[in-house]
Amino acid sequence: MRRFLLRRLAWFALTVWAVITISFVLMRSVPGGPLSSDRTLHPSVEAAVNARYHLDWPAWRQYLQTLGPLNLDEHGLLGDRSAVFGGILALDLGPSLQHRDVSVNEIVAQSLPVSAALGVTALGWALLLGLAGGLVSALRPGTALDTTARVLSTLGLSLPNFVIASLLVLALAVALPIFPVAGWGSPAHLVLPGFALGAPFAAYVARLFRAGLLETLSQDCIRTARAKGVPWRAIVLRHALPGALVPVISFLGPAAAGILTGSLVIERIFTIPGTGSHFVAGALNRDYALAMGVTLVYTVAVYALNVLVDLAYALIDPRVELEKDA
Amino acid sequence: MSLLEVRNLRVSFATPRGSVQAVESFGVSIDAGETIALVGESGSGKSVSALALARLLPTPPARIETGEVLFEGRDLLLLGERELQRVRGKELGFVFQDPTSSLHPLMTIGEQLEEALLVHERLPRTSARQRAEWALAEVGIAEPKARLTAFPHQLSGGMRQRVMIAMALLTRPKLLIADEPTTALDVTVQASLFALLRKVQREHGTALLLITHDLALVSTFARRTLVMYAGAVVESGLTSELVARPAHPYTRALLRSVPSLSTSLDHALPVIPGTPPDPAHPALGCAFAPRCEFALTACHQRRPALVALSTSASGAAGVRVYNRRVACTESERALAAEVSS
Amino acid sequence: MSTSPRKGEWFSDATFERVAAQFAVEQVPNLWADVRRRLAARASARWSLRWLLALVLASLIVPLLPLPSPAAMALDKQPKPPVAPWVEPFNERFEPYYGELNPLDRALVSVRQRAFGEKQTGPWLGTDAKGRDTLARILWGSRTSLLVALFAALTSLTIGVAWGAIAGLARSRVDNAMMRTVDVLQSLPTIFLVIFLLSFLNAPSPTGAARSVSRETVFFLVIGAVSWLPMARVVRGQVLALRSAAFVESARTQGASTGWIVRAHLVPNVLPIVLVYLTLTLPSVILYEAFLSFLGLGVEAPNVSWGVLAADGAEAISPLATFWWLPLGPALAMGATLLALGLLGDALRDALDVKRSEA
Ligand SMILES: Nc1ncnc2c1ncn2[C@@H]1O[C@H](COP(=O)(O)OP(=O)(O)O)[C@@H](O)[C@H]1O
Ligand SMILES: [Mg+2]
Repeated sequence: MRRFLLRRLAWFALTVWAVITISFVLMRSVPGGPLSSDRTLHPSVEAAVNARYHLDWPAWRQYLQTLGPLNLDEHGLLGDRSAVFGGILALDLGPSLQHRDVSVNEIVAQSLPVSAALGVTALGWALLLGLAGGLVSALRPGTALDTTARVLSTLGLSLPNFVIASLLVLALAVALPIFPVAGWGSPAHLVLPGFALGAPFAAYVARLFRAGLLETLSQDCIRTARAKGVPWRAIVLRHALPGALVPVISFLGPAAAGILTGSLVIERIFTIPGTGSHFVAGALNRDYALAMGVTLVYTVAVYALNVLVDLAYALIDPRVELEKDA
Repeated sequence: MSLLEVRNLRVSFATPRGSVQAVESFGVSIDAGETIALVGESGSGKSVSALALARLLPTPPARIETGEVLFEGRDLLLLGERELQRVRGKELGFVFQDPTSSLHPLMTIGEQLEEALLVHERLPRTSARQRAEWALAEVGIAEPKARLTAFPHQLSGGMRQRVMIAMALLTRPKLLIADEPTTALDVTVQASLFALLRKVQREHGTALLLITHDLALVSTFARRTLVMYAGAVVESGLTSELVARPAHPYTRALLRSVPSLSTSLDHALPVIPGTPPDPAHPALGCAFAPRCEFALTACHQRRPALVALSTSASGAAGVRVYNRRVACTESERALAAEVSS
Repeated sequence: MSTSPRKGEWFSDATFERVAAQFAVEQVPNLWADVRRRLAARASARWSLRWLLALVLASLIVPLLPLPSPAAMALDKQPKPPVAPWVEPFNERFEPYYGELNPLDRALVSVRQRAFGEKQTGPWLGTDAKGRDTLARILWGSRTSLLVALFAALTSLTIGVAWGAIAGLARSRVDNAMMRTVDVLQSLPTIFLVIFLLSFLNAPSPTGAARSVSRETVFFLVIGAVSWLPMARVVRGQVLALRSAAFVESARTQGASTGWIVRAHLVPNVLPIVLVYLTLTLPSVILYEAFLSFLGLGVEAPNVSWGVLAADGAEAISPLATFWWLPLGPALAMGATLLALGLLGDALRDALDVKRSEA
């Protein structure tokens, strides 16, 4: 267990480092600085801005600065106290280049709860619909109910979330004004975007769960349970469910990553002030610090979730040995 | 009245390629405390018959077409699901072929053992646990208490099968059906498992339907034996007699293909020529006719029923055979050939 | 069709193994005929194939069709609703403005002009706020999706398959290194990095000089770069499983050369799973493109893609005025295509029995 966590931590550090480095290289390898679109700036103003954000530093110093509290001054020594931010190792994502007086930390702190609420709603929809659909399908295979659930899940898998969003808004916000078209503030604002974001994953969960249940229910050990006289309901709940949930649980990691990705689009469609819309805006406006900060936050979130999934996996299946295949 | 009386059980499977007649006619009668062996090559319908009589086959694809399964006078095929559940696991225990897949991989041994007690006897958890521990001890598992919290994958194959036996016997069933309980195991543990089965069976007075293809074992174990071929019982009788004087050509062939230590290596082991029939395309006549050395033209045209071997027939062969039922019109010749050889 | 029992439907028993072994040898030559028959027997697979073929054909010959130009604008300020084909089948208002076209398309367009002149279809699916014909834009937009799919298929089939096969066949150290690379690449939040990259390329260059790499090139490179990873993983898994499979071992003990084993055993047994994974890769790549285009990071105007159209459609929704045809058209086109790919993939997986051979 400890070794598993340590190993995952090492991988995690490696991934974060790779993300930072790759983003850094990408950003620097593109011609023009972050402020180059502000062509109206007076050269002296620009110089001042550059100085403030250390854009005048050599690349290696900027890199170290980005990484952490390793502020080397020109003489290669520690201790440039004038550094504007502490670096990622100090959990300081630096100042936003676009919103001049706000730090990335503040932006993230403000918008992350919004995105988290959206993401949790989406995951909730995905699990609720997916598990219910899969259960119904698997317990009544071949019936009309099963067919309906499977058609719906195939549809859900083949429509991009923004298409689902558009259609939902057309139907449930415009034609029948039940939910708000867009915006943020009340729980009602969460319903449509959460559904649109979660629907493709619900479809996938339904498939996984149906297949998982059918598979576990056809195993020999279920026959043993029936031979013991265990009632059917207990067989489904106690004997089949845990095994059938394993594929669903291992899908939660990729699903979370997908939901985060999808939120970039959904937040935009529904004008939700979440982290995703800040990321898109940041990227489009070449706000390095903001874009990189959000990327890192999302990397951490997905990574943490994956570790949780692996732990849950080991909890369900005693045959899984965490140390072996971390 | 016998404990279990199965008559004319017919089971088919719906497959994408049409219906497959897996069991064509199965019947058996078991008295309390009695041991009966069911033998036959694989695919002959032994497992399907055993599962069908407790309605353990998934339907669909399986379908029980006809039959009566009288267990203590009640027809299991007519019982409601609830009542049936009270019979399964309580009166009727099962031990399956492969203990590895038959035990639930995600539940502890203890949980799986206790389950039957919780379901059938509504015991409090602690006493169920106590009983489970005793049961493990009874089947010869060392440190039973510690094993309760183990998972199946932490035990050896032989231990797993012991757990299965303990599980089946926990509720003191009147009948135990063991479907090739040692086929999936090492030869070395087979003997000890059979000794165990025999011991617990004696102690509890449990009747046993033992499915096997180990004919050598059958003769020491079961008083009576049933031979199945292609979904039908083709011969039944007292084991000692049946082994000594098979009246069905298939039984005869089966017995001859059993290797023994005395079989010298320069003689090829006699094998039954040909292959078992395809259950998707049942033959018109006797299913064994195409492989039978005694087959006449008539054998290919009409299927013989399982009837008592008449004393005159056995007498003509020069032996006296009791209580034998055979599904073969040429049993007289087969018997005679056996006697003269 | 053989009457051999398929494994899994039966109790596993020595007989079945024996029978199965007989047929495993016999089935390989007519595996593909069998697959074709099973696919043809499935209505969903037939219709999916028809739809995909029609789409590919339409996107190839779209410059030849008497459609309006997808780029020609009419300054209507308001999207125009669809007009049924039987109300206004054609009109004579064709405007040959296409923006930049490659030489081949230019030639095709001039053929179209000679053949149909001013004639063009009516606004069967309506027009957008700039007066551009929705049907024409959907059909031209399909080219982007299909091109992306083609590109991803090529990288999956070349890099992905080669990488996976080499890793699977190589000794464990090489294998380890190769798969760790895949792991790292897969655990990177690629979409964010991609957005990064594309958005930087998106910004106007400070000097106003032409960029050395066009954004579209990068776009394709990026999609190619991410699409081969799952394929590599799957192929490696299959190759590893096959390497220790009984029939390969027996071929080896009989002295078959590696080349022969690869040709006779590996390729035919890896192909099914590769095909099935391709049907999974293509939809995800089409979605990827749509997703990036939706964010304004995909193709550049006057080029068009389904993602761009969906974004326009989403923007056109407001409680005040419903321009329902703008989101609906691309939604249906994309939905139908992805559905077709999904159904085809399911059918293929069943026909090839991939899940079982994977286990
Ligand atoms: N799930 C199934 N689907 C179709 N046929 C089956 C299935 N299970 C068993 N059978 C048929 O039942 C016959 C008997 O099988 P089985 O009872 O397992 O044989 P045995 O236990 O004697 O080795 C097989 O030959 C096969 O034709
Ligand atoms: Mg069997």
